[in-house]
Amino acid sequence: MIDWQEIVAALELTPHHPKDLPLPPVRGAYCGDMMSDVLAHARRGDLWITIQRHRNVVAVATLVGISGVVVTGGRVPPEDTVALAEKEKLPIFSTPLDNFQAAGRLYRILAKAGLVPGIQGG
Amino acid sequence: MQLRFEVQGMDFSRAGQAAAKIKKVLQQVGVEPGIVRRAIIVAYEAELNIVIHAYHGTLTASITPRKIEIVAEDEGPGIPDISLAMQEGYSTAPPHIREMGFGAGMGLPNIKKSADDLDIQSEVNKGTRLRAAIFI
Repeated sequence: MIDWQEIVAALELTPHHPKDLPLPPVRGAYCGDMMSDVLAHARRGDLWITIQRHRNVVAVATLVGISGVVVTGGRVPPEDTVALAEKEKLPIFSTPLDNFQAAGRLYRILAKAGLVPGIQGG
Repeated sequence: MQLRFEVQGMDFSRAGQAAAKIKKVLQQVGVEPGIVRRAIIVAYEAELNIVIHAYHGTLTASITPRKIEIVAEDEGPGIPDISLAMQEGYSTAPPHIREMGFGAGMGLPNIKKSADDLDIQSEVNKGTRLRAAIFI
């Protein structure tokens, strides 16, 4: 089981969802900025790393069953996106890191937990 | 059971809502997750094609014990060359739409991969009718 606190610290995340929102288990991750790509290839339980922050991100994340959205590059999700995420009970964060840095740090955490296919945990 | 949704061109604020409702109903009637996933990829991409390219249209999902059929019908510019539109990476979406992460030229290829049966009829300057079936 991945510790959300570890992810929040390593990826320098600022939450934009309500404090009491339960955080679902993270089972993997997907990094992508094209909606069709994420819809087709991300998996249920993935944390989604993206530069996109418009409200359709919430629609795609909800359809896939994403565990949380990380908006990168210091971009802050606008109010309408945050409101829709709250309605859908979707955790949404921002980070000053770019896609590469955020994915790299998350990869290390997931690999350690044995959640990266082909990579041994430890 | 049939679900029918009106879809407005360029209304990105509501884009994806029809697919979300279809997902909810499929889960409620106990369709297995893999089939639900394929159906929502078809529904979302068809819905977004109307939002991105057409003036307005309808998205219909017909659910029977044997199959899920999704029909997207629109009034719009139509598709001059369907085989070209089916190629991954080909898109006529304008730059500001692409910047939002749409118009990657993956919509119709995603639908083709997810559907067991696909039929597209289109008339330039009139509209497009897409029918896709996923067998349960």
